[in-house]
Amino acid sequence: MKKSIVILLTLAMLCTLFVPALAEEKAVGWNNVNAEGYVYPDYSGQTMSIMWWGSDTRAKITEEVIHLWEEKTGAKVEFEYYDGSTYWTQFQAKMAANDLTDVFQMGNNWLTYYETIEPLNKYVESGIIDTTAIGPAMIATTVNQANGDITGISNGTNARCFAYNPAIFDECGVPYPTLNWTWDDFASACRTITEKTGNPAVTTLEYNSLAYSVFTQWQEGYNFYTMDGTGFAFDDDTAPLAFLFELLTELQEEGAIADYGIQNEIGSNVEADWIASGEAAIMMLSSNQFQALSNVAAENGIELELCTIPRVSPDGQSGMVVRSSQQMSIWKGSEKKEMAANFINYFINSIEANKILNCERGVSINSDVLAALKADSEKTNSVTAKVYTIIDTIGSFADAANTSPAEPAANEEISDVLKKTYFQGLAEGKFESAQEAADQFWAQAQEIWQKHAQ
Amino acid sequence: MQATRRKPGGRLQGSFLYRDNTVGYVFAAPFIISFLALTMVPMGLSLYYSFCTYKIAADPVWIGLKNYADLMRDATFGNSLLVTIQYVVIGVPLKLIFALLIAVLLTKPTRAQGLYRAVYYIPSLIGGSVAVALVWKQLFGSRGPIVTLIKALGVKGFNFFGSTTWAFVPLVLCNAWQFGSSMLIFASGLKQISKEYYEAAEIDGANAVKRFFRITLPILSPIILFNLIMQLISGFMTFTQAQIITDGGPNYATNYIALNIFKEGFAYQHMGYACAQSWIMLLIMAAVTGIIFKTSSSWTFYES
Amino acid sequence: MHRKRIARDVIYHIFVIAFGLLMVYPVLWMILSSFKMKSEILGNNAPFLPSVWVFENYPNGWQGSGSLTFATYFRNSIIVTCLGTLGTVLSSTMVSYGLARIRFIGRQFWFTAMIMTMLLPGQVLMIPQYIIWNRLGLVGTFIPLILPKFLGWPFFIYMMMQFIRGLPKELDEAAMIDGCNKYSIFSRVILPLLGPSIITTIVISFYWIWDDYMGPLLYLSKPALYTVSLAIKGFADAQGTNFGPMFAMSSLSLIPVFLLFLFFNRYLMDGVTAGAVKG
Repeated sequence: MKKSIVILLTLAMLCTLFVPALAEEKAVGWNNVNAEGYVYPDYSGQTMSIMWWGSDTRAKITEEVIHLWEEKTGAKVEFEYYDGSTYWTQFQAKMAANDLTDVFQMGNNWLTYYETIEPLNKYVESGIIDTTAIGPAMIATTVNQANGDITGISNGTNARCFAYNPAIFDECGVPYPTLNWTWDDFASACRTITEKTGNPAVTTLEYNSLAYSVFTQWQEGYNFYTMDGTGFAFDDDTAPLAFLFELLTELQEEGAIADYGIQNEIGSNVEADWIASGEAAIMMLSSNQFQALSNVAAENGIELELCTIPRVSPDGQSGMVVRSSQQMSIWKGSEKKEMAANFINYFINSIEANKILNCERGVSINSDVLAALKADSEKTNSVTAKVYTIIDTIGSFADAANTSPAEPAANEEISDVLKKTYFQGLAEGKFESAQEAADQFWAQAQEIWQKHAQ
Repeated sequence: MQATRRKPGGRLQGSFLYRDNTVGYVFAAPFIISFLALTMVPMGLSLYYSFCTYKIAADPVWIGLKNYADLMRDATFGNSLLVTIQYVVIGVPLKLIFALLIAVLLTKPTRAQGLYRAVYYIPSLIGGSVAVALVWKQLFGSRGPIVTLIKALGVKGFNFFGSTTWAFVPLVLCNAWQFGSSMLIFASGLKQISKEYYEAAEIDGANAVKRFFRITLPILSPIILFNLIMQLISGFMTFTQAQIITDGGPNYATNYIALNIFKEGFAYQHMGYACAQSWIMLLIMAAVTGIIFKTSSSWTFYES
Repeated sequence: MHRKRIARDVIYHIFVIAFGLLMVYPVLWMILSSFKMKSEILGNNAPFLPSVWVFENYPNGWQGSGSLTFATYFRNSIIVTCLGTLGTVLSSTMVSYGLARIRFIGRQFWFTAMIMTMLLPGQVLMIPQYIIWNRLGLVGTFIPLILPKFLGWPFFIYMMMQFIRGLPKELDEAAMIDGCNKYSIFSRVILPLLGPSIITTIVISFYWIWDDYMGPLLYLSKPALYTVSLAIKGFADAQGTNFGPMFAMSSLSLIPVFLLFLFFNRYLMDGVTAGAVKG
């Protein structure tokens, strides 16, 4: 009897000692996995699940990182992965059955799947997801500007940019692209190269992304979509699109840009672009595709460089944007949200983990991680260094944060209509003028927007 | 027990277990179970969704006939129907004739017959893989052998993948090239034909061509009907090859109906609208197959 | 006369071989590409034969993605395919006999229902079907891929119906007189005569299940259960595709199907002496 009283008393005393400690505000950065002596949370016997899309390379390194985390925390992580094109079919089936994984990889299309996503604000505010080494601009790449919801944490950033083959530029006596080269510079470079080599200078341009860029470049305050993704942001002004149409039509007629047959053969397969075999000189791509493209080019003895997208005027807007290439999000229906948040914290912030991941998903948003990777010469080859540089450069442009991070749900359909308009104009010559093409597109885009707004 | 059961028309024969209705349902049971449990509900749901606005993320909202009314004005859908019909009308007969001719050709009894048939079956084994997409793009590409030949004949600026008129050709040929299954079904049908028919015909002095039209075709007609119906259905549903080779392009020229339905449902988030398209397609196909079944009695020949 | 026949035979063989080579060219292209560097697979003027033979594509591809190798994927494919094929043959022969030979109430209705199920595109049935299997708690197992095959596959049901209709009805009547009932007619008369079509069913359904991608994608949801067709897709990515390893594994995945074909095709061939159509 006495013994139990003693035990109770000691317990009570211990409680009074610890309660204030628990209630105390945790220090900023308390969950920094890179801190010396960091103690991992204990999740022994608990299970969570995750899914992502990507190649076998990605599967390999992600699995490795998952196992590391499992060792440290005692957790069990069930994972599944699919190729990028069919991931969304699988995702929607799981969504329909209300049975998603606790953590899932998400793209810039998160507005489409908004109902399934848990806002991470409270995990970021409480510091479970440590953002002390992540700049606010990087967090903003995954924030819903309409309500401030953090929809996920970016796995890395990328940017649409151009790649070029300096050897062909030299050979044709064309100066290399500068940071603020213009569409005129671009057009004359293409013309000269085509004239001298007999090949089209360009075989891949992402026409839709180009259009979005030109809208931003056109005038300060212009954008294709508003920052919060709730509408268009160019005052019904279709002049930017008409301008681009006119330019592309001329270049294609002259053969400086490949005809549609060639462009469609290459399709979305960047590695098949003629730049890799030394025939074309310029192409457009996402910065995280540069490594694969360079690998194929290197087999053919070609070294490629990255440059910015041409501008409307040299001292105007860049029209370029550093985006989240993809993010990790937590499922709203998850019962393991805190555990999931801890996993994301490790996945995004751990230097050890990211030495394995090595920016395969995009350039890391954590400055400590990025510094460590850059310092490690084994991890940074000349190709990845070029990617780091272009992301830094674009990030330093004043307007780089002015583009909506979210793709509205209507975007898929609108971009298909834009593609159709390009084809009808450029390949079939259906329109009297570039302006007519731009106006037709704009009418159809608004119709689609209405349909989705219902 | 055994003895009584064998007696024709005996009492046990007439018992419940041996009535035609019982026997029929016993044998058809697997299909009936799967139909009721796995197919009927999804079919019913898709019909219900076709009267709704339905995004997978949210509950369906009843909107009556609006989807169907919208379909009447949807140029993309109309175009999809047209190009699908073009694909079916050109592609299906091509594939069937090809499969039948090769099947007949390879019935010639030689030692290499097995090897030959294997060689002709191999193309069907790589299905809709990435390899097919790449080879096709190289074969029919702007610098491929076929375009080079066409250009040598004096046609300027010709290419397949940038032309709305010609982009379907590589797809139709890809489909015809994978004729293996149809060929195999024809071949097993040919094997069922009794040799006596041919021997009798040969004695009558009928040559190979006459024998083919007078014996082979009529006896094979149930199998021809089957292959025709199935190829029509799979032609209407064609999806993978158009997705991997042309991705529906250029300018929707190969945006076959199944591809369009997939896009509407999954990429554009109009699942209700996609279901309405499916049901229109079902009606069209039901009409086509119905007509074929009705007319088939005049040209198919069953042994009994 | 004799010389003419030999000449005709030679022409026949030359034609069949030449045309056959044309047919298998894309397949040869894939197999040869599995020994190439990426730049030779993609190039505009890619050589037919690899200029440098790259054998590493096979071990690299076999490695799969980390802890699981293609040994697992092949095992999974073989389980799913063999059981699925068995189910297809059993159920399709049964159902087709019922629909083709027995006059029961509702026969026409069920036949029409069967044809109708084939007329709706899978794309719109996918989600509701997934929800059913999910409610049953069977997602993440092989059952959604195998069980439906035991419940009949309309394509093969209808195919066998056509073959059964080609068998003379007198056979059934004779068997009835010998004391057979409707069940034993199936096992003793119809089944033995269906040989060629059963073999056709085996060969075709084996390949279709082996090659199926959508089913495994939706229902397996654990890498340890992935099939070969699903794993091969994993080599492709917008950020760069591992073509060499992909073609290496695609080539390997042809082998089981091809061997099965060679094995069963013997039963579909005519003897050298008993020709059907004499050239």
